[in-house]
Amino acid sequence: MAHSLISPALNLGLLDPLEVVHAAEQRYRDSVAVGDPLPLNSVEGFVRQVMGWRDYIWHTYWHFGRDFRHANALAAHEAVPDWLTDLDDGAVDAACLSDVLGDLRRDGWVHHIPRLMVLGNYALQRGIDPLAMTDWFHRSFVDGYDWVMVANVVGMSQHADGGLLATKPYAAGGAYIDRMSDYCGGCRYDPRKRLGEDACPYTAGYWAFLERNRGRLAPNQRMRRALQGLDRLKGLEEVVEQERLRGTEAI
Amino acid sequence: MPQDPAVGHGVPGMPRPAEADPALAAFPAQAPATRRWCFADQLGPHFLDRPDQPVLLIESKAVFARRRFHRQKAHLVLSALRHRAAELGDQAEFAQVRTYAEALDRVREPLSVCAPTTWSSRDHVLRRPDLTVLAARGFVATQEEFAGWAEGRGRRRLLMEDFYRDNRRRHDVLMDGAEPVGGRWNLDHDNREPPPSDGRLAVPEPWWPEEDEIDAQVRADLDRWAADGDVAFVGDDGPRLFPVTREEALYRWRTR
Repeated sequence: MAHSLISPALNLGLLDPLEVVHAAEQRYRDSVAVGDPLPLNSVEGFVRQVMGWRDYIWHTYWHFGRDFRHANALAAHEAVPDWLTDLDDGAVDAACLSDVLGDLRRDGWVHHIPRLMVLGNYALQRGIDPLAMTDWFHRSFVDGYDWVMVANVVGMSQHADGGLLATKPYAAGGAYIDRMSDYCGGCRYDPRKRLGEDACPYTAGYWAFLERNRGRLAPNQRMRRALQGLDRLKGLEEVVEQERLRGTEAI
Repeated sequence: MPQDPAVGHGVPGMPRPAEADPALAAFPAQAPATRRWCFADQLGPHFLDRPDQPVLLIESKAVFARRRFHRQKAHLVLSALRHRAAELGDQAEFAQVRTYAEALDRVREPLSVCAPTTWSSRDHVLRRPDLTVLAARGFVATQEEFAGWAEGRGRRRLLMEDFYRDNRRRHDVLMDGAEPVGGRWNLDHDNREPPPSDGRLAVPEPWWPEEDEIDAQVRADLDRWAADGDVAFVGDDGPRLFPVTREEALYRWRTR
């Protein structure tokens, strides 16, 4: 909810991650000493981002070698649409995507969760080429660098590495976005609907994504329940056709 | 976490760990008797071996022409590089050129560089004669430490959580002896509370930087490059939101 906004400074090399981590710990220990402890979950969460995630993403960029960036385990080959390339939030009706894209256009930065849940989730569902998305994230974010984005986009966000970094794809329907945000209330799409004019493209897109990748995801234990849900879904053919027609047009 | 036999190392068609790649050689740690070329993401004091070490900074227009960057990203990177050049004064040779090679060809003294942050830039520095490439800086674990950890995982998944604990132990961060402070390694669960119903938390407004004459020059240059058609951007221009000097970075960090 509250963020340090120091990722660009770390990635420009202005701050050293260890000094930042040591300073955070010192402040925590000082707060304990004076009997007014900072919340340990906040301190640990920060330390985890800097000496856990950031360092892990850096090392996996090298460890998985030169071909890591070309991994495309879900055979996603769609081009990045122009409205996304141009950060054209005005072309987008979906409240979540329009808001996140608008913030990105204005600031060159949004927090990690909208990157994953709204932007990455969209590309994953629509089958956009993961390397093209890696380049898009690299260019569009002030803290984006090749080493940052290959592991984060190919691995964490697009599941193009077939599960080297994350145990299952970060694909989610509109109901999840509704639960985790306050976007859906005023949106022209209904996160509970998967068919029709007001069907949420994230909800319908989620099912179309599962159907397209059914065979690739079937061996993954953690996808079993989602695929069982897919088997029981009424009107799947219509949903798939609706989303095929929608493609990567602005939603 | 349970093992998933469908994922992990050695799966056909999946990327494999790089072996014996020259970009991943065991580079030396220091070269204090050289001029240090610092890339635009190597701007802090920890990229030098001594505070008065001579520095080379290169501003390459070709880097901005290759890709359509967010306007504010181009501004941030250029502003940070030029601020570092101004801060170092005579200690730095600051070359504003089209390509890196133009600047490097002019250097007539021993030159070193900390291993840069992309595959292509590592290949580039390794191709240059008379350039000493040093181990990467700016991260917590060394390449050897990560490799040792990954080796120790065997065929098990390279879990971030396990690597993170390794880093915590190695650097004694939030540790009480061998145990994590508070008794638990992972407090993510406590960070998943729903937001207040009005969507607002009582968090103070962050500190925002103030632009200076270097920023004004960067803005004018980027406007001109775009008008000339040399470089194209996405996104809006706007007041700079992020630190470009170590002083600003420390200020933002400490006033959090």
